[in-house]
Amino acid sequence: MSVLHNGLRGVRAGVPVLLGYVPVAMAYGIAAKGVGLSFWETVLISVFVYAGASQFFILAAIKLGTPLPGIVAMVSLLNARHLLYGPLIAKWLPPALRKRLQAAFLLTDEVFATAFHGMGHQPVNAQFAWYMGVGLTAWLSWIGGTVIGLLAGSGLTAQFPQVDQILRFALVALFCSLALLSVKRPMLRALLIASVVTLLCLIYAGATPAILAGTVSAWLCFVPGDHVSSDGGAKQQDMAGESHGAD
Amino acid sequence: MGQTEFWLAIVVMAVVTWLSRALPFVLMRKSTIFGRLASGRFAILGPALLVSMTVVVVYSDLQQATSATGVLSYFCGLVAAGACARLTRNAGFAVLAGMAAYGAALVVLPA
Repeated sequence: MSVLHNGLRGVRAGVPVLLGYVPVAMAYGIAAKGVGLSFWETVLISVFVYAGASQFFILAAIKLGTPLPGIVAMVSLLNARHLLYGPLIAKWLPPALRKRLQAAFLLTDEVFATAFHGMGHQPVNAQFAWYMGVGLTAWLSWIGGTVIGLLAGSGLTAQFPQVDQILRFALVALFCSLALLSVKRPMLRALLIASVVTLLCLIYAGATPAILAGTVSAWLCFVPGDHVSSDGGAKQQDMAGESHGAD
Repeated sequence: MGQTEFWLAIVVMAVVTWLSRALPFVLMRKSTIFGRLASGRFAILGPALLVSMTVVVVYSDLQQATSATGVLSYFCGLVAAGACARLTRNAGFAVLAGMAAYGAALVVLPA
């Protein structure tokens, strides 16, 4: 299979991310226009920063006149969860530094979720092209959504509020379905505890600490040894979440 | 914030974001330690991240819901996405099914 063919398979796997990114990026474009950023300033932030939560934070910081060190500190905190994504999908990436740095630029929450679910099912020599297909689809849809938001303004979303609402649901549906597909029965108790911890931290501390706390609490509560029988090896492999259907 | 300071902030944030994504990839290039992150007790890290992100996204959306119909439609979409994911084991179809059910519920259910 050619690189292009594998890349196109990745593009197909990235379509759910595209559906969810466009309306959110449109909202960013509209909000950026609202705080007085120029067309190119707004687009270049989407091109180079390419991080939804951080970009909305930048807009709020500009509005409030937050000093630079404060903005950088907050963006670093917001991005702390990315440190957990790399270790989980790095085994599927080629060891070449240049390729890994390219892949890192495209690694968002949604790309991680899609890659974690689907990358392991691709042939070894197709994995990088597949990942880049997903990543570039997400990146270009984010940039495209930003441009649409800037050009069409709030008029478009005001004219078709239900279409906008339905498109925004794509990201929720994506996370929900990928989470369901990755869960194995022996993990249920730990994941239930993690959900409660995430919810409590979300209420009292915010999204990023909640995601980190939930993940750590699941790891602390999960005891794989309890569920391993005499054929433990096979069962362990199943629990690693590597037996799902492809994209 | 001046124009120079604004662009400096953007460049710094772009670099910080990229570094937070790249650091694990670079550190793990020649290390086999992290290869164990998909087995044993570490096998739960990926699913736990996905579940935690789902909880955050769902809770944040529900907080913004303004009507019971909106909440009900939201759950219709979630159930459809979940059921389709379980039946087809395909996330793409699940997203489409979830969006279709959510949209249908918004139209059909009384406001």
